[in-house]
Amino acid sequence: MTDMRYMRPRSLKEALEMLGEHSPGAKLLAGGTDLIPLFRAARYSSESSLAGLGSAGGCKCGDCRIVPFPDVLVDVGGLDEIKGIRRSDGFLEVGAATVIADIASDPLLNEEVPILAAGAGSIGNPLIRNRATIGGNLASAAPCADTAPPLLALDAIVQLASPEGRRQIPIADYFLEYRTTSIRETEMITGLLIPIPSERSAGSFEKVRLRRSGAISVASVAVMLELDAATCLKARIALGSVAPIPLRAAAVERALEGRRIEGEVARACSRLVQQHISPIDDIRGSADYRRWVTEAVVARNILKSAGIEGTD
Amino acid sequence: MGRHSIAIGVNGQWMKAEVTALDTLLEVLRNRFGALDVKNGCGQGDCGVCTVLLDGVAVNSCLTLAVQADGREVTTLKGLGTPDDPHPLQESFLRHGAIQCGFCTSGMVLTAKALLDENPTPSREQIREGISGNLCRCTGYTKIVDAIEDVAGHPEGSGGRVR
Repeated sequence: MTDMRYMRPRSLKEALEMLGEHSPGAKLLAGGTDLIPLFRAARYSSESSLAGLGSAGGCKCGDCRIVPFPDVLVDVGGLDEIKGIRRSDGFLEVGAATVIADIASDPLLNEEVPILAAGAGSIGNPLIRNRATIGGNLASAAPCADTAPPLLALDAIVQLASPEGRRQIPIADYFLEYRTTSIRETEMITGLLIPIPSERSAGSFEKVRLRRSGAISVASVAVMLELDAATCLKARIALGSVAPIPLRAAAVERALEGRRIEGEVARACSRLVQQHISPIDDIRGSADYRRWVTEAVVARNILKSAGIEGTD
Repeated sequence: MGRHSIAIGVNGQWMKAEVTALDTLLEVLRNRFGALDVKNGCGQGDCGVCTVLLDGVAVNSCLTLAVQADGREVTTLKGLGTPDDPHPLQESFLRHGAIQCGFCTSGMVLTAKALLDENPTPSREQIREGISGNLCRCTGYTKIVDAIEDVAGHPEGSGGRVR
């Protein structure tokens, strides 16, 4: 089984020291809604059919997401320093340990970046949202992470800290490949900086799912447009669950910029989404369906962002 | 195996245990503290039968490590009321027949308690959304929503009686 130890740092500084001291055997824990079921799966498999895989436990197939146990769990979920939502200098700052329920209901976020509140509100169910954190949603880096498309569409900046210091990276450079990010071994996410969209900006988020609660997305789309009347000055189109990572559809964005948004333009530009996506067949939908629905939902949300509804 | 000494306030009474980092709050409540009113269902946050209030917030105890609850207060169904002195929600569930097999009831009532604490006058739609993490496999949702709606706006349970 495992000798995994649990540690609860009292400050960010202490958390970083623990991370530095115990890496690579340290793993960060916040809400635990993703990690704890993995421990459970690893525990049951190491007790039964996968026994003999060594003291680390866990499955080595690389496919079934069963993780080895870390030596040390560093619980950063209670650190006030990395919790909360505030406005500062044209940015919104969201602490990594802010729970998803607070993001979904926050008045400031609902006012300034409603697509992020909507993405957060679409995660899991109310009980999950009471524990899960936005930092955890990004750190687990699932292709279906529901805060990722809004954050990509908003040009968010990921704030990272390690015992060596701090750095910031644009979220567009954060997701590298399936469940792999640019976070270094002794780094942790401390928060997100979100540029407050201009008065001329509008956005839209839609999650395609098989039921209204407790659903993992079939596909998700976040759109942000900066508009001068109906002309698109700047476009951000971001997608979840249709590629190994959440990603932006740059070809759609480029095609939209400078154009006057109307139904045919939105549909034509949305076709370009196909070159960015590589969906898979799974229990929630086929790859073919995902290709079809992503294009349709991108078009619909471009129109919705531009204030043109009911035309498609 | 790494051992951790923890203390958790369960319905106002501080309970101590030696646990491993892997033990969930659900396992410790049921197997160590005898809180069998907390039910064990899917074990991964889908069904909500293991719902408890952690410092007043409704959470899945299967998705919470016992060590994470160290020093914190947990409320289980029995912490809300007793047969002699039931909570208005418990009374209302009985009155409305909002219980079929009963397996979801513990979590459902606790989620409803947290919902009403946060919003004493939810709409029917807000109640449906609020309990969407608690599955009733008997699908008796109509009566459950009725029962919660009946207490809503009457947190002391003084009004809204059916009879």
